[in-house]
Amino acid sequence: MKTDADKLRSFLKQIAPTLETYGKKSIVSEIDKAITTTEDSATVLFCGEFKRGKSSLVNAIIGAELCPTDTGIATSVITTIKYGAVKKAVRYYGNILDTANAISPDSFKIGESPVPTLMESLKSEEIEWGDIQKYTMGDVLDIDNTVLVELSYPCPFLKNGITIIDTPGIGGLDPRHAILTHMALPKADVIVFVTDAAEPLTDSEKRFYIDHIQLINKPCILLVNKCDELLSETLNIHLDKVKLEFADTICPQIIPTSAKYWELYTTLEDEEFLHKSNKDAVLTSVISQVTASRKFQYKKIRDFIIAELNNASIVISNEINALNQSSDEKQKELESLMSQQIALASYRKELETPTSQTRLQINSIFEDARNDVANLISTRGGELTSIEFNKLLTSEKGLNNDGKWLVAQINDRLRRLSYDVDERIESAFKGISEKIQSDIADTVGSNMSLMTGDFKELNSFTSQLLFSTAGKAGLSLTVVSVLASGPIGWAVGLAAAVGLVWRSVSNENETRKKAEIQQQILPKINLALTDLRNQTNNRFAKFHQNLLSVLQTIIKDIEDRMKVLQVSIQESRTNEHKNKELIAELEQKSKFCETITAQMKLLYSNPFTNAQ
Amino acid sequence: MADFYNPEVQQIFPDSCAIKSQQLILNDFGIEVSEVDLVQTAAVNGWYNGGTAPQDVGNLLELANIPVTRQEGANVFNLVNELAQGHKVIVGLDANEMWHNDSISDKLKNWYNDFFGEPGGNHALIVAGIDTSDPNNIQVIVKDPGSGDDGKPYPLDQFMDAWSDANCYMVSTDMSAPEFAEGMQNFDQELGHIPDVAGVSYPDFQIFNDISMGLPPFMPMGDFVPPVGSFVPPMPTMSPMTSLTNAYLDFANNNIGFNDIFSDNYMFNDYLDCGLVNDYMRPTCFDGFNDINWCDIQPMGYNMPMDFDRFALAGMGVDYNMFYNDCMSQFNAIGDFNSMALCQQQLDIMSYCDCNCMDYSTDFLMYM
Ligand SMILES: Nc1nc2c(ncn2[C@@H]2O[C@H](COP(=O)(O)OP(=O)(O)OP(=O)(O)O)[C@@H](O)[C@H]2O)c(=O)[nH]1
Ligand SMILES: [Mg+2]
Repeated sequence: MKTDADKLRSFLKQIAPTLETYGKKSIVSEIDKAITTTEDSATVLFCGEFKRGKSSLVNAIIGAELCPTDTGIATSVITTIKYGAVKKAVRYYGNILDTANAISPDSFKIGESPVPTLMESLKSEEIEWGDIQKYTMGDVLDIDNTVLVELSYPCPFLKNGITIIDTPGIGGLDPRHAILTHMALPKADVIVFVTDAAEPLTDSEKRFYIDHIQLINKPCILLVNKCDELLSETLNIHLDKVKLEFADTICPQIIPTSAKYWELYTTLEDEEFLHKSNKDAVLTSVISQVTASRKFQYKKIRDFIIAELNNASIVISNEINALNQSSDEKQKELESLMSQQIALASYRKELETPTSQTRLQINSIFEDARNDVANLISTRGGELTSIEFNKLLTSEKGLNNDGKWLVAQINDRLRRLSYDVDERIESAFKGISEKIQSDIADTVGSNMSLMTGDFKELNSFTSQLLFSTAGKAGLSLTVVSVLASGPIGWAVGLAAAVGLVWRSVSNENETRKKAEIQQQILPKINLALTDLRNQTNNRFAKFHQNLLSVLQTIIKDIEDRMKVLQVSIQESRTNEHKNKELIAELEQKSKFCETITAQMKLLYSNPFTNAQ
Repeated sequence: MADFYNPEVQQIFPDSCAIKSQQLILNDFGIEVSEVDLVQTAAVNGWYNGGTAPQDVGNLLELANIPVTRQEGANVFNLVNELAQGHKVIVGLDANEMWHNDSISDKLKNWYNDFFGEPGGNHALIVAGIDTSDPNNIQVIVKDPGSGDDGKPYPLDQFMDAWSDANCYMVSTDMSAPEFAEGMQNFDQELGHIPDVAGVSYPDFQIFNDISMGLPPFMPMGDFVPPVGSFVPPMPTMSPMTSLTNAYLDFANNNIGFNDIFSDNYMFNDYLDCGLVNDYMRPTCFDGFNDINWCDIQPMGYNMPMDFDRFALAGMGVDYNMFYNDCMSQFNAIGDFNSMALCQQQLDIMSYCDCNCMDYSTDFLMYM
């Protein structure tokens, strides 16, 4: 059968890596130490009013006269006795009164033991075994400032780790004695409160029990010593009184005993004294209280481990939550990246396929523009060579300035026509560019941070397409030169030609003049219109060629974007899977914590004992 | 018999076997309580009137905060599955078949009762383990409060005969017993199960457990041949579950490959309800797939981790055989044997599909 300590260690060993990873680093060794301490040691402290026979009882249990006993006040120091294969005595000495006085008497009640602080200020030395009495009995000067004597002694009863503490009696005249007892009290795991059968229970004894022992909340035994001094009826009356006195307290176990008979039994081995001393009952009770105290201690350690494991669990589940959240985000990010990728791929295909909806729409914008321009030139050109020309010729100013007015008017109209043609082409470019832009925005979404950078490039590219129509940047140098310098240069050219015509028709009469002007200028106008048509066709051809290369550039641009996206998608997927794996690992850990916690909670739980 | 006697296992009262069994389990979990206290508690709660009703077995454990699962019509794979997870198991059975099965007349009487009498569970005990070291003689190790036997082995067939009389009733704890309980020293509480079951990896064992769910409940069978001249109806020579057990052991001992278990050599195939099996196997498949540590490997020809998502894979027309074999060799190379075992599990599920005319991708991968 495993001991409680073994069971706790078994759990601790299993969860040590978890606690160390998700909790405090030093916690495992701290817990381990607590288990070992509980397993290896238990302190049974004897206390009570002076002269109740505390030291005599301690000696009886040990089976040797270690502690001084006397009819007068005997014990002046704290004596601890623990197991040791060889006898050894060490005394701790120093001036405790100053230090103790500095601590308010209240602080002796419960809680923090001042012993460690006091002990630190003490010096220690090993003393001769024969000198024990010298350092434990008498006043401060007699004992040379000894506070505590630590004895190691080969007593079988102490072998399982029990340390017995004898304390000076309380209620005596020397305040030092009470102080020492108060100092030692918090060190006790089990308290043995010694009273006297021959003396009525004093108020101070009872108060001491209530104010100091009961408050510490440790297992306690009340020994009624010296029962040899009473006849059995009187003893029973006394015991009943004691029981009554303690009825309103958390009642300790009350056991009558006699150190005197006990010692007699030890020396004479007479069974009668064994029985009368009640030795077995006392020892059984001490051992069972030690066991209870250890159990209580183990339970505390168990609860502590569960609390630490729970803390680790919280850390783990927080990590899981964080990972889940980031996993959700990563999932969303991944989905968005994938949908961008798919959208881009499909638009790329649209742009690539000449028969696609998008391409047909682009073509129709292009063709509409070309038809419009052709119509424009033929309508306006036709008017200029017929109605418009006659109107100008027959107008009041028709022959003004030797016909220069007329030529200027015609040049002006030709210029306006070429501007209009230019504007129409420009708007076709704009239309196509806007369409592609809005298509891409629709496909990929304008809110996609990853894409904005490249959309700008796309923008600048399409605006380049626009600029080139305005003649500022090189979409097509030929088209630009025709249209940018075209209307002006070309009009100048026409003016020069008309000027030549003009000089050859001087001094004719008005009608002939008109006829001659008509004959000379009309073919020139037709020639100019043909030129405009050719140039326009040229420009549309270049426009178309450029459009194709623009589409190629956009496609390449999309492909580059897709490659970048692909890398992001792969990264995102790897992260997401790493995440999932981590989550799975943590979930196993968390389940493990749960299992161990559940297993640990079962320790010391026994729902069946109350059922009886 | 005396070899196995342990007074601490023996029940005090003639009808407290279920209570004693629970006491032993409570002790395993670190709860020290006497049988007498338990009997009193059970009596107070109405769980003990001349014995414990099957549905009340486990109540004492639950009262002590040890959750349990009760299963009727369980089979030996289910039983082993509980044991493999470190759970403690109590079964109901017919004690006569356990204790009085040595002489020919005992056997004949028990066998006769199975067919014509009123079989019924009258006893509860703890199954502590199963010894498969000799595949020809599998032994069920029990802790029997009735006889006080601690760790006594019984031939599987005899155990099954006795167990089936109680309709193969089983109560198992949901929690693994703690490390300090008997036999738990080497159990990996964090992993939550033993690494392999009688020479078969735990993931592979799960496949067998799933398959066992598609077989009819126990049918008594005979290695026992009735004495010549006695009037007895012909006995089936084998139960489907025994056939599956044989397949399992043949597979465990490397006598056959996994897909060979679906051959005509094993008659359990004639009884297999694939619909039922699939219901159990799909979660196994899904969990197994997700537990594979894909991140550390890059199978040939796959755009990892783009393609390894189960849905992606399901729709890709992947040659899964090649895929998993490649994955396994890569896991082997980096020493991730758990993932390797899980890939093997997927391969086994594929074999099961192939042999039963199903499509792994559509019947399993796409299912969830
Ligand atoms: N009759 C009788 N006398 C006892 C018994 N136990 C102790 N005495 C005597 O009581 C006196 C006091 O005993 P101690 O053991 O010194 O008492 P104490 O409580 O340690 O005293 P202080 O340490 O001074 O508080 C001694 O004379 C003992 O011989 C007993 O059981 N019966
Ligand atoms: Mg004394």
